[in-house]
Amino acid sequence: MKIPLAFIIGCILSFLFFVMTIVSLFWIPHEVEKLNILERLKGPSYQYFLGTDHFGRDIFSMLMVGGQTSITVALIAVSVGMIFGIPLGLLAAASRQSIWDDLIMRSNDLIFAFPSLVIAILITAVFGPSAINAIIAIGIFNVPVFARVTRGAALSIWTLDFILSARIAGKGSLRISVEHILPNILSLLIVQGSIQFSLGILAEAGLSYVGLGVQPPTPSWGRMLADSQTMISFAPNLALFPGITIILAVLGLNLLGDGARDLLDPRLQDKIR
Amino acid sequence: MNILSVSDFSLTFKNKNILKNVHLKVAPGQIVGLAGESGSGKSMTALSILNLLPSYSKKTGKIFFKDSCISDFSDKEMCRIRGDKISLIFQEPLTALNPLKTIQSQVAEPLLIHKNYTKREANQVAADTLHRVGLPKHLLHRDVYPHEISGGQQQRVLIAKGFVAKPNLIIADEPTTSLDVTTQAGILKLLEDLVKSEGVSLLLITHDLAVLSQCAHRVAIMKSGEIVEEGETEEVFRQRKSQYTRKLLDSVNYAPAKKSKASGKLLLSVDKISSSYGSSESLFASKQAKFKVLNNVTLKIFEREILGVVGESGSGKSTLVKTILGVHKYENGSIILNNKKIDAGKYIDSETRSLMQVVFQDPYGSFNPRHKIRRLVAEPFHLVKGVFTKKDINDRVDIALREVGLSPDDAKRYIHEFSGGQRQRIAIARALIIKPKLIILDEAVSALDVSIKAQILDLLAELAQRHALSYLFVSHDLSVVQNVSNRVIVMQKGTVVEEGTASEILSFPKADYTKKLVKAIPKIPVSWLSGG
Repeated sequence: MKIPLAFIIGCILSFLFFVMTIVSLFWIPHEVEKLNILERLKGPSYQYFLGTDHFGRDIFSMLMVGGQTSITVALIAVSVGMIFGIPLGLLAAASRQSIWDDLIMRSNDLIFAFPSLVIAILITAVFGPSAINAIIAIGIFNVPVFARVTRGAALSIWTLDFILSARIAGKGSLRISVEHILPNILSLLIVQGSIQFSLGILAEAGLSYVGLGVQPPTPSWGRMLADSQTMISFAPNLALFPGITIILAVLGLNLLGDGARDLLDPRLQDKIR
Repeated sequence: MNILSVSDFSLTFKNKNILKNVHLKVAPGQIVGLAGESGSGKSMTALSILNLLPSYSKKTGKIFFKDSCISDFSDKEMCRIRGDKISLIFQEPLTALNPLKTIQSQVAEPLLIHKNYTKREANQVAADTLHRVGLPKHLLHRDVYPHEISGGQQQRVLIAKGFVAKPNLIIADEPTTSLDVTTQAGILKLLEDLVKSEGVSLLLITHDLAVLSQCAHRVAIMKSGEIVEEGETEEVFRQRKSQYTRKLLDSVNYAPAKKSKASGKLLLSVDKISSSYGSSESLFASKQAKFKVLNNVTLKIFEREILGVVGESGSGKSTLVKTILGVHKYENGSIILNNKKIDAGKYIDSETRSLMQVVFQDPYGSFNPRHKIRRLVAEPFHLVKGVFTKKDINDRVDIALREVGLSPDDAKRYIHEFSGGQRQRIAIARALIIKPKLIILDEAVSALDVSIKAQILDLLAELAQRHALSYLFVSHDLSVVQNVSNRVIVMQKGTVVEEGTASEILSFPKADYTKKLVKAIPKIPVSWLSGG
């Protein structure tokens, strides 16, 4: 079987990203919470792989630890979206053209109607800025995304003959949703999941950028960007490296999700072969 | 001189032979039929003529249009030929028309591109042509869109578009396949008239030999990219030089040898049911009147009987099937299966449900592509949960697969690995597995090629005998239904217009609609079939 190149690139990027983060749990080149003013604003060197920031902290170490924040926040937020969104979408599709369908989908619209950042600011204003509140804010916005994608895809499956034959075999809506609908839309949900995961990383970076995410001294990619802003003219590497890291992580996850869909679908396997 | 001559034309896609040494000639004013089963290369021949092949194709041989060798033409040169000298009429009228443009502007398009007409002149000619192809007066004004007219009318618009620039050759690729028989008859008549009165040539591509026998001057029979026989229509039909032609013609009006005999015991009785669509419980649904699909339908099926249900699209056949299967609600009347009432929305005990099974039309949509054959075929066992052990179920799957002519090894494969005919066999295996008494065949053979259709009909007849099955055989095709059924009912607009034995209905139709239907079925002249 021939594996598409884009998938391989996605795998490598995502793998590097995850390995970097996991390694950071046990070992990092330099302590990230210790200030070392003498070593501040150093360019890339043997000692400081990607240079240091204005407090003399090693940028590479900060990126590694920042990955922890990104992964945790995005992963939990996507899981929240999936755990609530997919069953809601399946339920809406199974009870199409009934009050349940309307109820679920219109409440989705309600959430969609608020810009996510506004809700995030609201939550932070009430509960204070923290990683958990960032997760809640991003998670809430993942629910309607998954509900909508699930419902749309499920509706098209519900019209097929094999669903009718399952109903004739006496299977109820719940069983059909789990046995027949879910496996057939799984590939779509995986792709959506990987996209939402990368969007979650972006959202976390965005929230941290405006100071609503994790709080200092815990490093975060978004806040590294924000901090570097004022020094971009004389220390561009401070902004460049977190930016590139975010781009590569998001790109890698997207490619990974796309490739995973192709590999998971038995119908598409013939074409790849 | 021939309008079109294809000589020794071969086509390969990535080292796969698509067409092999195709020879074809079309004389002026002639209708030439190109017949063959799906995948035989008919459509590829049409696309080759118009030079619309994918870029990775490799071709050898020559195609002449009059004197010019159009197979060597560049795309720019071909653009001057397409639509002007040679035009193409597609199978699916709905997708071949742009939904955002009026039918008149679509018909006028070839004139604007090829003939330097002004917009006003072009629209005038387009309106005249639309009138010529038999569109009623009220549809001739300027802002009629494709969705406002029926399928048959859409096909007429496509014909008008193909014909408006007065081409020398029209290629019609299955122009009537997606239409009802009564509509088909009108469209064929129109094509014939146009050929006669305007002297254009027509290359008619179809899988339906009966259609060709009625209108084509010459026919060519295609099989896996090769033309196996070519000649005058009557000669080809009478002489049947190639074995393949013989096989095709034998399967056209195929009737299974053994017909089971109905017993006196009533199995299913549908009494005066009515059913409608549009009853939505949604908060935002419009409170408009419901659309009635079934109106006082009554039918009875006895044990070991095959009841045919015939009707055109929109006659309510599929709704009838769903209602009987207990997945669609009905308003009044009753459906009684083996002394138990069936009503969607109310509990139907699994014993009653397991008495009937169904085989659908579309061999591609009938199976969950994620499951393996074993799980697919075993699905009806859900109805008799706990009765069988896993081994029993596996054994019965193996037996059922063998019964439909597949091997038990196939149980480990996925559905996409099978062809349309094989999938229909698997669907029958699934229907058989819990030994029902009634199998509903909802257009079960309509999507299949003629020779495969014959095999499936044979299989069904054999299984009916062996397992004492009753069939409700639903189809739009009266000729198939009359060959397999004991009794036939004819449906129109949700009502039963006629009921009787198959031969009665075909020979002495009483209702006007049935008469029209019987008359519209294209038939190969009997003497052609019998005379060797």
